[in-house]
Amino acid sequence: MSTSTLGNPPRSMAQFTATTTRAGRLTMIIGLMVSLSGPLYLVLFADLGVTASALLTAFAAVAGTFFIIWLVEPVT
Amino acid sequence: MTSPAASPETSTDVLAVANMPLLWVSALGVFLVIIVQTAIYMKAARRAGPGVGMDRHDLRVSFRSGAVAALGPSVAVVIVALSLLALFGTPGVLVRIGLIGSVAYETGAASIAAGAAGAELGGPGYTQTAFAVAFFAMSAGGAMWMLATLLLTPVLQRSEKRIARLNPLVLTVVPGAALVAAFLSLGIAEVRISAAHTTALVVGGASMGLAAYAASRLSLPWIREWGLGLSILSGLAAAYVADQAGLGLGIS
Repeated sequence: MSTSTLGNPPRSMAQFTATTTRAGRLTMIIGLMVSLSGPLYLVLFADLGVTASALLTAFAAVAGTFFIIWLVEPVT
Repeated sequence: MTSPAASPETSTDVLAVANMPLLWVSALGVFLVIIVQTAIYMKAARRAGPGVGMDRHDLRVSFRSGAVAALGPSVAVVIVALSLLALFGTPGVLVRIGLIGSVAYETGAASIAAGAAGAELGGPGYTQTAFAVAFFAMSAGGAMWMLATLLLTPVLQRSEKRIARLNPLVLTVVPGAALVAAFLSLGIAEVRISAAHTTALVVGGASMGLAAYAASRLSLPWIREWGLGLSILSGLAAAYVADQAGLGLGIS
């Protein structure tokens, strides 16, 4: 890493953090919605005989196993 | 496969549903989001580089190192993705693997969700309905992961700012210490699984250490850069040899 061309480190990093935080949050929310659109279409409109109780049971089973990891992994 | 007249509750022709056009649109949308996010991050890094003493060459090296380091974990994900294709169809697998990329989560969640729907993945009870339920539960689970990240990141950022105000030196030490701790924790977790896992860990670690030493002694930074890929490959090769020698779990 060269150090001879140092500009304004705090301001550069602050801009970088601001841009990536804003863009990261926005793209993540869009990705979240897009990723759920397919499964939601299947269970709501594809007429596959899916019941709400089956969805809840399956989600509860996944949550029971992964709930702690959902919280811990993003932090670590 | 069953006849086209079968109902979704009885039809095991899962791929007919799993390859619906809307699911393809969703998969392409996810990849578009990933590409856009990557482009924004790279542009932000290029803009911030000069201010923190990184010229274009440094940035190129960093991007390349990141790409090389991602190859190993990506290979594992691709292998699992291939095995899931017949169960979840190409668009479903692309969405799941593209977003979370966690082999352990995707296979675990798929199996648990299908089980809760009264079916076994790929088994006779794995109908179009069971697929829809399992795919929804997997995706909703993945969404929770992302939601936790979205909610917890600002909390962590606030803590980081507070620490920086109290003692800026802490912030220069903590990220490095956290990386060492994270990789040590991941590495130690492998040791208890089998001797083959330990062999892969030791060989991979030794290869990286050797590459870092050679890069420093010979003043050739590219060795350190490519050492990441090399250590991943040597770890994989060591795991294969150790497994063939009977040190693994005997999973074929």
